[in-house]
Amino acid sequence: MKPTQFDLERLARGENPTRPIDGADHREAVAGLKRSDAEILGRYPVEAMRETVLKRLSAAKIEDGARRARLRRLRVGLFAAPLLAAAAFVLAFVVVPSRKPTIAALHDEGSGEIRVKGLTSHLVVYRRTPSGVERLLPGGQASPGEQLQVAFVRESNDRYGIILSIDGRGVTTWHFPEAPSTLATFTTGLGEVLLPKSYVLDDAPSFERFFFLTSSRPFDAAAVHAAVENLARLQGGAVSREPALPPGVQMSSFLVRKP
Amino acid sequence: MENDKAGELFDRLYREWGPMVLRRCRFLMRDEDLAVDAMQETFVQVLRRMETLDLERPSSLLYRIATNTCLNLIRGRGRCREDFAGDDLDAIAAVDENEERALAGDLLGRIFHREEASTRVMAVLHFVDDWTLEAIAEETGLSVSGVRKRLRGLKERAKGLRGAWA
Repeated sequence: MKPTQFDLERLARGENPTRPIDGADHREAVAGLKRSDAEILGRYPVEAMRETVLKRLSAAKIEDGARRARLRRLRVGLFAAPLLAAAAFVLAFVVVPSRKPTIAALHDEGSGEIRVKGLTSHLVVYRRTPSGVERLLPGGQASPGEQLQVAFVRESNDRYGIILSIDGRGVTTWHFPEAPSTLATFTTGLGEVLLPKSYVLDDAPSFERFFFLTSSRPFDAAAVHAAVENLARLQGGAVSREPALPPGVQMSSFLVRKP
Repeated sequence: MENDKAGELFDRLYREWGPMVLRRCRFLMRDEDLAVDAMQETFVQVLRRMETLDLERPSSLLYRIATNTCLNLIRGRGRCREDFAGDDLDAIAAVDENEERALAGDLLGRIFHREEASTRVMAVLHFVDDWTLEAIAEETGLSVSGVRKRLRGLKERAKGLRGAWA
């Protein structure tokens, strides 16, 4: 029986071939393989190959991680719809205890995390309507007295953040975390997270603009708060301009227009 | 630390079986640069899963992973090998196996866990390397009739496959 190339390879390594083969009949072929071994290891030395293969391995692991993240987002997305519906139900039936003159606390339940797909750190704003809840588009309109629920979606590297808003009167409101001028450390999973409280828009004119300020490293929340306050006081620029932020702090904003 | 471990494992595997892998890739790719690329990719695939593989006697594993890697490269190159155009290997590489779809491209997962050998790899062993059905069955742990059935199914899907069996 004629041996396969793999049989000969095994013979050359002193291993048993797949099928019984008389090694003596193939001594020359095996010797040729051993000469080839030496030629290959001389031409492609282990050190050089190791360096290249380990670099490719690192790149492959990064790709693996990205693929797992995509799959995770896909799985999360599949479960998002029913969870969003549940959140809408909660939002639609909360009671409104007035707490602040400009934006009132609406409810104090837990964070109510909801997972949906998210690409970069950003805010999501929902508006209560007579028939339920609708998601506002950036730049969308809501009237004084309407209840809003803000949620955030963070990018995986953004582990620290705060949420503020400014209005058409130049007033800055601290939304998240609970304690003003402190930094939130995100320990929840990725995906959409509802703020613990929802809000009622006051009668400040023109707009309410929400800011989500994030970073991969801790930053000075008070300084960022001050930068947003400075922006709020700008005549005509608060709707579209950006606050002067420290290096490494990313900004995402969401504008709600008022009629 | 993990890189050190991978480096040590690579050294051991490459010194003993690297030449065998490269010869396999040379035979299938028919191009020295492509063969070296395939050989490196074969070792990358092994190191990615080094925690779950049985690497005590890896000849068979490396041979099959090298074969599968070459098939993927041939397929990925869109049958660009002019000297090989239209041969059995191209036809096999072009087959879109259901099992691959199910694994979202991670066919090696099955090979590594020895749950189910790639039909494409079996086809190369049979049609290109002239392995007998019995030898493939022994290597893969399938029955001879199981191998025959799977190869028949692949042959029906592989247009231009010239090989035949009783």
